[in-house]
Amino acid sequence: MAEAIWPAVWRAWLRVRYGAGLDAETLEAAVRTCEALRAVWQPLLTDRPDNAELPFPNAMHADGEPDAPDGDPK
Amino acid sequence: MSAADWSWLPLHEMGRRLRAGELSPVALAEHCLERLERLGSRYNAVVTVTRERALAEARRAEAELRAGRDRGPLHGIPYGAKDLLATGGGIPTTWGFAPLREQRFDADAAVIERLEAAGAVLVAKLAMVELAGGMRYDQPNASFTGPGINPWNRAAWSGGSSSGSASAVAAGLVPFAIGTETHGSITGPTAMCGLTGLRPSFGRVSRRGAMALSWTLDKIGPLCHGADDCGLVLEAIAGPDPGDPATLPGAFRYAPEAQPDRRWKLCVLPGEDDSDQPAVPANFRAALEVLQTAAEIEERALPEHPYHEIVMTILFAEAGSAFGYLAETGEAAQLTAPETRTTPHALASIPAAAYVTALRLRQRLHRELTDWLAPYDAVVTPTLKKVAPPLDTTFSAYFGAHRRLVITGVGNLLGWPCVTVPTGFGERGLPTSLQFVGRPGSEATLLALARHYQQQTDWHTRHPPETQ
Repeated sequence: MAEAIWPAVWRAWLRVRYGAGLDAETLEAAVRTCEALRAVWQPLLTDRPDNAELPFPNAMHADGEPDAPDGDPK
Repeated sequence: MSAADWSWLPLHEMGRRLRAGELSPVALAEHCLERLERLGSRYNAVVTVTRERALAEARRAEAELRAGRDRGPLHGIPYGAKDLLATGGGIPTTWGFAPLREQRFDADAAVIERLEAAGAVLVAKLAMVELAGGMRYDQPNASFTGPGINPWNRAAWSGGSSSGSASAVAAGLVPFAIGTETHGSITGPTAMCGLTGLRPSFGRVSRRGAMALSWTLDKIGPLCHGADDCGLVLEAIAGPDPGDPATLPGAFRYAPEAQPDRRWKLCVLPGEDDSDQPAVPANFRAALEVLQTAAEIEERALPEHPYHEIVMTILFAEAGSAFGYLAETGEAAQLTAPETRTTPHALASIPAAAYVTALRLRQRLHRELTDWLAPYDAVVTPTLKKVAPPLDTTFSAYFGAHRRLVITGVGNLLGWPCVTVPTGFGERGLPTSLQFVGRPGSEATLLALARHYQQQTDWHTRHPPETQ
């Protein structure tokens, strides 16, 4: 679906960005596909976003030891 | 054994002969250089033959081995590197993109450094799809070096984006090569060219000095003839690097005999062997029969999720950050594949919220699928649903509904490692392949599975005709 969605959005974007004017059909296709993506993704998301949802760089290569108590990196 | 047969020796045997003085590093480097210079253009496989550097490294290896200094199993063995890995010393690094034909870096990429430390000999920078295929190409002619040509059938593509790495190994121009994968760029070319490939876990191999297409998806790994070869190369290139903060702690030691003596448990995904080419499922089923001698095999579906949507949103957003500038400079117009020339302009339209949502979903799926995979040593599927496409077709027309496997999206999204092995031949005399995909850090298990399969079969020892 993503390859179907993003090119539809891209067509709309490119028409606006390069001054071709956004016709109703292109706009409709872009909106429709964004709604389709949202319909697929939304059921997987929580209504109460949590800070633990995204990995941060320190979690990606933690060596198991916290920083020094004064906050200085080791 | 004649020099012509050197190209096909397993790396451990090549290394044994080099250490025993039966084979000279300089003679072996000359052999590869001659083949690269004579045959490289036949497959559009080579960007730069690094003759001067190769001979210097080979002479050093020869002197060291004679003096009893052994740098390990790759000492004196030639290899080629995908041309997105930086090389110092004035050697160009083109990323497959015409405007960058003269791009040069001051230093080697981490992978090149590590292979040099292991005594391996860089003989060539190998061709690739421009910008590692991140601009949504839809046909084989997407590099300033031309389409990668398949040594098994020169009217077929060699795969992408590691096109030259695959065709150079398959044609016996180099004993092994280094490629990269963001979303199928090692697995696809190794499958199409009948090779064994290893896509390591995300973070296993440092990407310092490698072109960035997607910071959270890019991986670097070897393309070889056999599983043992992949293990030896991974041992040389893996390990932490302060220059790539995504690297995992700990080295990788390839010790195939140290695998526990037990039956493996494998998972087959329903529908992943659907194909309109009968040899693909037939060869896959035959391979499963071989694996059943050492493994319990269970069929189980992956949880239904929009994996492809998530991984492509991440890839497009990160590629937009990496290469959106091509729209501003006008260089987008110089992309070889015409269908990609608007992509750098368009990638900027991926909403930031969609990208962050995709990252949140990836984290959620990581937790869910880690539990799903826990009972198994690996998932096993065909690597591709069709053999390599003809050079004169579009991928959308050729693959149609058989374009993608769900596990390719899952494995790349979650940083899972993968080993591909050849399983026979299909239409137009082209290879078929299967892949073992496992949890992060399970390369040793995946290589043991591939090794077991290759001890029972000889597909990985077959070589294309007309490669002399």
